[in-house]
Amino acid sequence: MNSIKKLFRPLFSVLASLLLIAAPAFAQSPTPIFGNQSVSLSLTVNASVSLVCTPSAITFSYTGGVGTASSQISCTFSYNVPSGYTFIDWAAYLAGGPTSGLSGPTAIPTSNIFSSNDGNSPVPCTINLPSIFGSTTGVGCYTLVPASSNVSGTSGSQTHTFLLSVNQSNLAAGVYTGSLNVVADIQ
Amino acid sequence: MKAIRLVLFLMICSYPAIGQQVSPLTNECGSKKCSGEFTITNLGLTPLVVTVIAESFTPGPGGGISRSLDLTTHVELDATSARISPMGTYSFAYRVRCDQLPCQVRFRPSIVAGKTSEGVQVRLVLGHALYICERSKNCRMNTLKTAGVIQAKAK
Repeated sequence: MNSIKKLFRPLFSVLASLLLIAAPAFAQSPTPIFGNQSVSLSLTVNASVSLVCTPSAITFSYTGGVGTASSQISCTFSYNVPSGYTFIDWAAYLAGGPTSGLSGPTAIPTSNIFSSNDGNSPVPCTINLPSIFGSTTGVGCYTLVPASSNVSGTSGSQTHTFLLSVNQSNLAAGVYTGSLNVVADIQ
Repeated sequence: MKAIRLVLFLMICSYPAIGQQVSPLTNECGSKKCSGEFTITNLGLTPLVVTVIAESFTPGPGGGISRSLDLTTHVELDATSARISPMGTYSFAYRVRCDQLPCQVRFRPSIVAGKTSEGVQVRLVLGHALYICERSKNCRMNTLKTAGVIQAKAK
């Protein structure tokens, strides 16, 4: 019996080795085929700008010939643009025209309406609008058309504040209304 | 002090922020006929009415010149106003035909939050600029170079 074992032992070893080598070849396809297909991805982000102002309207309390605004108006211009944009232009102006910045029982001219811009001393709203905003005379409370670049990077924001006041004595009783146009451009 | 804070809070709530976004900023065309669109987003918490006007402009150092639409420029807007819900969008489609090239048109979308019974209401105005040249490629940049805006930027 032992002699038979000794005789077949090398044969088993050879068969086992052949099985180990050959088995994977039977277990899978002889030529592997891999799926390979590319899917192109494309994302377009359009340039955009936004302008947000708080609050959307103000009222005045009138005492002793002076009208004090209920709050300042804060406006933020945000941009997300490609390279090549370097100027941001601003204007805040009264839509009623020079003789009627506020309309009511008596028209209040823009020369009697003031704006403290970004916390600076009040200036009358009689600035002439720059030509990019139509060149209307005597209605601007604030304008900014820089001579050098005021844009940093391709995205960001700028904020300006406007605190309006009225200085006109003996106003007739009644309701006075007006509109402050805030316009901003990037180019 | 609490009363003042309450009054301030009520004032802010009664006149919430208004905001709008415009996209894209520019469009370029390479023929006398051009069409496109721009989208306005209401960033505020109340419905707003957007009105759009078109104007001609000439770029230049110091911002350039905006003016009423040239007689040689013909603009068709699918709508000149729209009501946009809070955080909603509206796309204004346009067709422009210029008898002479180059020509530039700027659309001015403006929004206002309702009507105020007293005081001053705020109207926001942004812009979408259209550059029309013989060829659309680099139309905006070439126009700005010709107008001297690029050189002005380099100073």
